[in-house]
Amino acid sequence: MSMLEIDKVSKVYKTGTFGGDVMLALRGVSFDIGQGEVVSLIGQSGSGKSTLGKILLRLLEPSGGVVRFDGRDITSWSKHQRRDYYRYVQGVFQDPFSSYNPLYKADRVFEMVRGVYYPSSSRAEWEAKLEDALESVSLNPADVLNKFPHQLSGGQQQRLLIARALLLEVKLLIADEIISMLDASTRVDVLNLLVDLKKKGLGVLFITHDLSLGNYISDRTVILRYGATVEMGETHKVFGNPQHPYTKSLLTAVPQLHKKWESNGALVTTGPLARSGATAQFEADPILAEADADPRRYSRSAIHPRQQARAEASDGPKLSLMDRRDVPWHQRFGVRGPDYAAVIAANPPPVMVECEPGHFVAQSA
Amino acid sequence: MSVKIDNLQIYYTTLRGEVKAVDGVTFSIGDGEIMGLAGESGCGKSTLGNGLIYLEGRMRHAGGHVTLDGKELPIGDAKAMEQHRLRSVSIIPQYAMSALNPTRKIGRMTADLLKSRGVDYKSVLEEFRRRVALVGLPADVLERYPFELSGGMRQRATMVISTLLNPSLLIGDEVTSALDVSTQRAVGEMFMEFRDRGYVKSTIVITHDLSILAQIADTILIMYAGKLAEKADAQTIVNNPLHPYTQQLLASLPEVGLRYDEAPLVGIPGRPPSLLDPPKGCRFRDRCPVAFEQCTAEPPFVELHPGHQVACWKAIQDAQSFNEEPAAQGAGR
Amino acid sequence: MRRYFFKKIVTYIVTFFVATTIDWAIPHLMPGNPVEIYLGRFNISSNTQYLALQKTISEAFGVNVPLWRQYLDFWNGVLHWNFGVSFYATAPVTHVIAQAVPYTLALLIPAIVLSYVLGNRIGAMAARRKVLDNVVLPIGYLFQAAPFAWLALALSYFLAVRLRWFPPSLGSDPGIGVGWNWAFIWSAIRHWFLPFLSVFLVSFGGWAIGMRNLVIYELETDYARYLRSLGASQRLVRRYAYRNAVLPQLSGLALALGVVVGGNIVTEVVFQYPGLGHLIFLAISDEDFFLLQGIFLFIIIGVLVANFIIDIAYVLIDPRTRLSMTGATA
Repeated sequence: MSMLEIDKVSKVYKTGTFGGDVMLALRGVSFDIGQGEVVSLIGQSGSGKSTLGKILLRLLEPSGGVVRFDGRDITSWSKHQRRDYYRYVQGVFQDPFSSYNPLYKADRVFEMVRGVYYPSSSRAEWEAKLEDALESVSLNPADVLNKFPHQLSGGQQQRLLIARALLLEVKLLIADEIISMLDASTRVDVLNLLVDLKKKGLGVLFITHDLSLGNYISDRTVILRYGATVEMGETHKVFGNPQHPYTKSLLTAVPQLHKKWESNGALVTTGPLARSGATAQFEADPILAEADADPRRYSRSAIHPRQQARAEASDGPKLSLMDRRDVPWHQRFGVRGPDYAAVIAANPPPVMVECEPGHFVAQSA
Repeated sequence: MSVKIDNLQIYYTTLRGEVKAVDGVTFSIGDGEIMGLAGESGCGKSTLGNGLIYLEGRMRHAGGHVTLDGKELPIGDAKAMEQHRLRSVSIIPQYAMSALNPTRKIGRMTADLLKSRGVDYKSVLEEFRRRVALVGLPADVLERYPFELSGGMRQRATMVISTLLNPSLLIGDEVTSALDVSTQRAVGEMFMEFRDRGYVKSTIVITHDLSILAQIADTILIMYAGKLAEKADAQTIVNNPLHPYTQQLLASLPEVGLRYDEAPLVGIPGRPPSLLDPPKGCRFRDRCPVAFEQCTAEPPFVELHPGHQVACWKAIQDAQSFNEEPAAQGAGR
Repeated sequence: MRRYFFKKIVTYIVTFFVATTIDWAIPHLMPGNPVEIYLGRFNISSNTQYLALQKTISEAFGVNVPLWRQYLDFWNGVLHWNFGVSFYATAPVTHVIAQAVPYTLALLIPAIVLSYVLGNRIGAMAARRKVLDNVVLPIGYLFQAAPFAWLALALSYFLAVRLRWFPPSLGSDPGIGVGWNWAFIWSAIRHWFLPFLSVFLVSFGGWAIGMRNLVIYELETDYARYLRSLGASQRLVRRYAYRNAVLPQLSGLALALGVVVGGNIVTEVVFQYPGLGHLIFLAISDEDFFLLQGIFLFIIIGVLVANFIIDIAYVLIDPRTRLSMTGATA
């Protein structure tokens, strides 16, 4: 049985000045993470990847669906039970500096863990534990203890936060863009650290917008677009044999050292900027065609008429993939009304089809 | 050569002393050239890029010259510099998404800016509209407030405003860093498009992401700890780097298709030296796997192959032994 | 937009309702029975006379009916602009208030407007001139931190008692009759100046410091840096910074209004200035409940109207709120 099961999780946000509009940030996302498994969750900004991370860390309530940890539903847990949950599931975030109070020494984060989870441990026990944790993130205690956050490099700060998680009996780490603010030379060390920890049995949800990082580290990959899964499966299958046009378009945009963008064909965009002449027409764009042709996925039935008119006026047929992402969320999927369940029901996720063993793709209409 | 930089030094003052962020750099950029400027954070690349257009209060032009289109660019003289900004040197800042006044419509703000520079807004309005359409923004963007646009749209609007007066030198400071891959590609291609259309003559693209530079740059300049490490055309830097720092930087980049169990990447151990009091000799020495005695002296930034400059004793030594061999053979004949 | 104003108006009506109810409750919360206190003013020896008068007065005050009825009667009075009769002046409350209001407005309006305008200007200037900043900042903090009563007393002591430049109290010289003649106007201005100055200075300090900090912040924002990098004139950058910094100051004005009105009351008391504040003081010492109710109600209405005007002004000035109301934001 999988350690963490994410079962049809949806999230609806209120938007607008007085919360009259809603935005569907996650649509029935389902996947699981096993022990010692690294799953990367890849998506662009606005895809809902960080929302899912926050739901898994119990920082947000899901609007629909269930998250199970070791078979138990965590979404309904009380505050007290949540503390036990955090013993096993911890998060690390993009900006390490903001996780520290700049007025205190960095190792205060460890003392806070001790205060909550190990109040009765003796000094010697605690120090041994701390040394273990620091060793597993390859930090030299003399380099990092008794220092202020600004005296540590970004990589050291991030590793210190991982060490904090390791002080607990952490089984799953939610790593949300943890290396995107680090320099190339240090990000590799953090990546390799995650690989080491994974080999020791730690499960990792690696949330990123960088496909090459996701590919490097993960066993399985989930690709999220507009809050729904478009493709998922074993990493080498998803990247080696991408099925969904969206995955393919992402792969053509990844900057590579030894392969020019042009050799992948033009970026899926219309307008005069599309280089090398391959100007894709809006109608010919498989993703948008799918998005607009399939009323089940992009139900506008519940859109307020005025909003619909505006949405149509502003995202007329000339918009490219990139421009489309610029159209505000609630104009694209805007549904009015307080009934979240109806919103979720009106926008069901695409059906995932197994195209080869261990490789699923969203069914096109 | 449209841009020439000669032994440029830019320092900035901190409470603990002067940080020699750019410590004597010399290079040039040709017309129509997109030069990538890469290195770790704190290597001085942003100070160099920003220093060419606007020295903030704590920054000081400590020496050296910048020549643009054959004329000296008075970067240390804020007053004299003013007339060059936007017209001959322009920048797309790191914060391009928040660079527009939130309470002014984009057209109005541009008009205000141009008016204060003595340019008639009406005379460039048509071109402005054309370029707005070129980067894929809707025509009514000029009548909108920045907060009505998404971050990507704001960034594109900033790119158009910055290049509206066809500057000779455009500096793009970490423009692609926070972007998603497809936006990254679109922005990268915009740099090429602007160059191809002659909106800008020379471009400096500052980034820590070498793979973007491999896509869009003609030449790449690698900086380390306030000094130049290596400069060559993009393909040479990517395929045949001579400086050990460049080599290690490239080795730490994951490529699509590579996994940890197939080709483990390695980082560069250690940290760059403090630029408050930089060490003598090669500044990469402490982290360098091939350092030897000679590295206690400062390596010159020399052209080892046509268009390929390196500041590394080891690379110089290798090149010499490579050159000596054929020479010795020739003598024996 | 319409929805926004609807919500705002509802909020204001609810606030008015709650505040007025509390206002009604004041006499009921104060010690003593208003009828007994009123009768205590007269020297009535006969018991039957006393009881008869008590009955008449109770009817006149409308306190001979159940509490809920009194409450409804109060609202009826409010809606008809009838707050009863003042014991102190033995005149309708509205008349007494009408006499005091010009004095209070003459203090408040110039003090608020001038302190806001000058405070913003000088604060913005201080933000970019070190020398001025070194003067404005400490003085601003001193004034802002000064309690109204303390500053009023200090000004009164130095400028009126010691230096005798200004009269220490009252609204005009007692010997000069109220009327549109130069003698009265001159006397009124001389009496007006010190109370005005103390209200002005306290608010001025706050605005100047607030504006200085906001402009410094705005000058460091990304858009200001961008404009400077592109060689925009200092004037343009400062104009933008000033315009954007004024917005939070405007919402600050709405918040500060109540404080200034409260400070004004204290100041009037110190200077025995014949405005509403002084009237409150008299009404409390005379236990003149109807007058007190009337004044509070008047202040409530004044503050709410002023707040509403600022709310509307803010919406009109800041495009962000204006457009978010029409639902056009991203």
